[in-house]
Amino acid sequence: MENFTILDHSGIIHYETIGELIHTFKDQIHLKGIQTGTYKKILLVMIESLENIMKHSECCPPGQNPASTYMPVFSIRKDVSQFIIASSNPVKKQSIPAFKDRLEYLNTLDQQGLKDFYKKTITNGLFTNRGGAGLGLIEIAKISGKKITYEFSPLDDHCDRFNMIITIDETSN
Amino acid sequence: MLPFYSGSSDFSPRAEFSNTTGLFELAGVSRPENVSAFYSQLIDWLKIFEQECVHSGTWPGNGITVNFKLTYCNSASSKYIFQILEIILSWKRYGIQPVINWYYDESDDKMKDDGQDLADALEYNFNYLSLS
Repeated sequence: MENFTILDHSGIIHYETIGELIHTFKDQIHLKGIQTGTYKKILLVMIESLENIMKHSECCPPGQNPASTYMPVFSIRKDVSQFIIASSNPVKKQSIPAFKDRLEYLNTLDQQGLKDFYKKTITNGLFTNRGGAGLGLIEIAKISGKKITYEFSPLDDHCDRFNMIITIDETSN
Repeated sequence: MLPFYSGSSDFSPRAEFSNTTGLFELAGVSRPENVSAFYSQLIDWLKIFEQECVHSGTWPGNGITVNFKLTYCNSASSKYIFQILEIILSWKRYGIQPVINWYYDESDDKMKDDGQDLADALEYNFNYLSLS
């Protein structure tokens, strides 16, 4: 089985960056022989993950280039029969407890539980002050069908680095 | 009142709402840069349409048809689309039974699932139609 890297990005994620990465990923699918069904799943997880990074990377002072330790990182790679979508970005320590609770809760849910939680969240009418709908991680969990692997590693007194890995099985269509 | 029209771009859908025929259509990719600003203008238009046309009884149309022809929709857009449909479905109190057509590419199960999740959340039946 072949292992290879499809996308590897390190740097601040802006709205335009996501568009560029989508185009880069689309250019890769024929070269790498990724099937349509799998490609669409990866694309959806990719966009939601990058939008999360864009909304929540909040530890670098505005107008300054972040040091490499604070730089968001995003990659997609093929590993045997799975695709591994890895994202990593700094988050403020104060937002971690609620974030962790949400991730742990999502990991307790099966597909029906995720559908029910999706319904509860889409009907609550709430948006975060960054324009988030609270649906991104639910969508990611639904599409992957597997537990979200994550960890927080300390960066400084105010921020941790959030690392998340999503796996998608290769499908035949 | 004027119809609403917004052309599509790489990451924003085409939105076309007619105040004369009652045909509302959203097509393409929905990942606008400012999702709140994009969908708020549609919601505002619908509220005016309700006041000036549906509620006042001056609207000459017979029904409301909503066509979704989306090929991608991010999660924030989904929540706004839910709000748009909540408004439209609230017009049942005026005797209107909106028809919701959810088009999808047959190779894209996820897009059909998104429609079914919305229909389930709204407790309303959609028609599912092939884009091709």
